[in-house]
Amino acid sequence: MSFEITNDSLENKKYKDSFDNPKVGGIVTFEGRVRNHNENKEVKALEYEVYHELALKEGMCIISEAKEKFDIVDVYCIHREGQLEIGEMAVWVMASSFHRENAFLACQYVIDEVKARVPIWKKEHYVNEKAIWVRCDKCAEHVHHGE
Amino acid sequence: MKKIKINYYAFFKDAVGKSDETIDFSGESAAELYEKLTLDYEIDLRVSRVKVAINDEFRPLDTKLNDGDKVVFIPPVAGG
Repeated sequence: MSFEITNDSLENKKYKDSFDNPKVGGIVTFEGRVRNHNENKEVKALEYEVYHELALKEGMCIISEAKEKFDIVDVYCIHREGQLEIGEMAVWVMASSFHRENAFLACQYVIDEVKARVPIWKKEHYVNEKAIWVRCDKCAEHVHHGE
Repeated sequence: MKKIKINYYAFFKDAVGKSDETIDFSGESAAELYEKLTLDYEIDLRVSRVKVAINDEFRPLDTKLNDGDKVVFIPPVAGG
């Protein structure tokens, strides 16, 4: 069980050891990758900034909640920081359980909560427009529904 | 007068133009400190969209600040 922040590529930083547990019958992983568009804008790169002390606490809190809520064997989340190019992996979540259902539920829970609660910010750099901090561009104008 | 260390991230760091500072603060709560900063730096982000961490723990905005506290105002997060 862990929550980590890293400046390194996630491509080779997966917890393959956790796949070897003979009790585990289902493993669900989620990869969040940098896409080349958002809200009709052409994205050329992303930048993640992290408030480390609190992000690690809140991230581990979410991991512990997932372990309590769902009957899982293990759960991990790793999030990138710094500059990322299109196609790079920004976040990786893995949940393992005896049966698949709890692994799916735990994986979904972790990524949803991380996006909503952990103090990590994303600056989108566009091809033809000024870069913005996502969810802050219209902060003063109106409250987005469903956030 | 209290000495308050403030760290800025993301939207706030760009708005303020620095990543941290220590200020003398005569007010009481984190909300009052936020109001002061919005005026000093012309920050255009409503307090209802902001959370606060005091000494690296989430706290309510009406929390009273003490001398030596570290404060981070948290604009809407966007991980993932």
